[in-house]
Amino acid sequence: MSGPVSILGVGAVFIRERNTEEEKSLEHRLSSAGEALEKAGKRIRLFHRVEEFAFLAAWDALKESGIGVPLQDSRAGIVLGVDEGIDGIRARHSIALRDEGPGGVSPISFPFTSHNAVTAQVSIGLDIQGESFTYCMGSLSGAAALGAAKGMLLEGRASMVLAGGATSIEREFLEGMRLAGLPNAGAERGGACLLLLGFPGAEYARGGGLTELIGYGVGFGEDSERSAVGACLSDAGVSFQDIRRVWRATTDVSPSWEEWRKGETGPAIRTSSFADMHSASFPLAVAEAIGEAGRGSGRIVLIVGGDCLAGSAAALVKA
Amino acid sequence: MTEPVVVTGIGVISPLNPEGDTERFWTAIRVGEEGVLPVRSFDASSYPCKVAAEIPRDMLGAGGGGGAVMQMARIAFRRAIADADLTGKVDPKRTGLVLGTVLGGVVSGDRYLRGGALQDEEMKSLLRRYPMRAIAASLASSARIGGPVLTVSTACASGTDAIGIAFRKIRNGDLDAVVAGGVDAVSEFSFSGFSALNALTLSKVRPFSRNRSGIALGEGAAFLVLERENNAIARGACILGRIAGYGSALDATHLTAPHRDGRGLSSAITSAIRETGVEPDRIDYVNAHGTGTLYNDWMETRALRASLGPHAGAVPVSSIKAVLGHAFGAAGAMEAAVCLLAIRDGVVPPTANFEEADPGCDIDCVPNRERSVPVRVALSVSAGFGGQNGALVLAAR
Repeated sequence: MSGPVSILGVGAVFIRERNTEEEKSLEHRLSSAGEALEKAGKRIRLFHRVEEFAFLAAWDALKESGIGVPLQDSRAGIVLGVDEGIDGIRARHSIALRDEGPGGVSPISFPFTSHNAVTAQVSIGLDIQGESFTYCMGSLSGAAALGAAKGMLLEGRASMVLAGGATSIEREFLEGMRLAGLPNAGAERGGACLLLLGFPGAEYARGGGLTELIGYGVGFGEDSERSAVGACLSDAGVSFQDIRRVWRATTDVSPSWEEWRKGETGPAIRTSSFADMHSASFPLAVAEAIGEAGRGSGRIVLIVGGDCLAGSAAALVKA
Repeated sequence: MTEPVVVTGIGVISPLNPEGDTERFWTAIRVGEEGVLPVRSFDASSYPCKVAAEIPRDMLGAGGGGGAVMQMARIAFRRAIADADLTGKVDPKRTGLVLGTVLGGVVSGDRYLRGGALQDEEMKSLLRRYPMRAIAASLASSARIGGPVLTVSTACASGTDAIGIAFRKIRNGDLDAVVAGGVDAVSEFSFSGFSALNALTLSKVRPFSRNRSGIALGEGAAFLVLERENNAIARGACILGRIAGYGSALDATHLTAPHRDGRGLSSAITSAIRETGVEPDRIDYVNAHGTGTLYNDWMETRALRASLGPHAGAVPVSSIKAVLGHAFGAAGAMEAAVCLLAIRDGVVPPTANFEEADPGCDIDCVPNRERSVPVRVALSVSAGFGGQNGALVLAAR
């Protein structure tokens, strides 16, 4: 289903390295958000870093839009991309079982070995009662969430949707990558980016709606990137020449990219500085692209991402 | 513009039909054949619970590699495509795959961490199987699917949501065909977790029965082939039924316990029925989530009362988890398949192992024996951790 949806608010949180000022700032922001939520009559108990990133990004997106929390809206939805962000939790469950037997397994942490626990924690804290999905698609997890949220709004199944991705890249994941033959997977890091999507005319929108998600497309298999971009352009009803800039959202962009756009009078290409943020990379690139283009500028930017298993995705944003 | 969505193929593998024969599956469900047996896939001697519904690993074969969960998915997926006679009949770019799974390749990750000394190649192989999206990627590549290939994980509603997402993609005209379903396998990883939560039965699974004692883990895979009705007719496909509505909603109250009044489930059911355009009293059969836990059974009864009104007391409601255990990501897809077979044959399967009526579950739970009932419209519901709820309405063509 085609058509634009408004980006009413953006929340982005990230830590590039552990034990830094970024991490201290995160703790402070979490504490402030928790206090504000408590004043509004809700309490939230977060257990893992990936939940903290997701919750804080959701909080910031709502705050920017001017919408009060808790939402208590039966038609507000949430769609998150979460994948490698719970690998550490899963690994610690297995290690406890290995080292201590069944008695070592924690009934508190076991439910968090399910990916949708992250989405659920945000929904409980903010009282989101509408539709909810969690996509596990590696570096395209966050992209899939944005595409699904756009569809939910255009189908009239939600009044607004918090959508994006969250990750927490922990020691266990990096060790697995190393053993799988990818020794340069970087340091422990993490982040989340959630967009509050809705409609500009809605009564809840406070000055938002200048920025729009106008197209989305995916592809799988041979030439998946070309398929994704083609589907995205068609969804938005724009041509390649209308695009001001292309952002590569992930590290996994197929070699055919440079090839297929040869001969096109195309835009300049930039690689997102969050391309290594896996499930959060695509929405973080969207936020970065909007920032660079300038909100309200009307410039159209294309964000393209790929994943070695999940295929390719493309989104068009009118800044 | 909305396109009618039909089902043209079913593929199921479960402990009751380890060879993947759908008719065998249906016959076993109808007679209430017990699938919950002593655990075989790992040593459960140090756990209070010693039962689960498993597919004997030697029956899965080794063809294609990828471990048990991959094999289950592969068998059900191929069966569904063959049942629909889909190969070469649809445009690959307008065909998609939606997979629901809770655990994905977690068995591989668990084995990697707990397996002791492993050879380098074995370690790499386990890590390649681990990512949640690896199963869908492998299935889609084998069938040359060129449209969206999605992996969704919404706890025990994953299979239902996968079919719901696929339904919308066709209904909105985005795709012509989607293979959708779910898969999950029993492992000590999940068994130990549910054991720690004291959720596992020590005897039998008894949904809606006063003397219920908890869930049993189950496993398997199920896929449906969904198609745009006009496409299916044009290519002469055999139409098994329609997906008529779908709804999803959150409880937003607790990570593991359902909302006591079934607020989210009721909302999902209402939304799914509204989409069909029929009144709630037109529902002829409900395939319940029916895990056999007190909170689920009571919550589900209340949700049915709230969404179906007085009809909730009259409509047959049954749970196949009594014999299949809880197959997590596969459960909702298996249950949707059962609804289609109930529509086809005019028979609703029983809630097996039922012993004692529970005043908190004042519904007709079809105790222990199948019933001949004309079924035109069936409702399949799922609920899971995280307050996740999903509902599908399936109908005769």
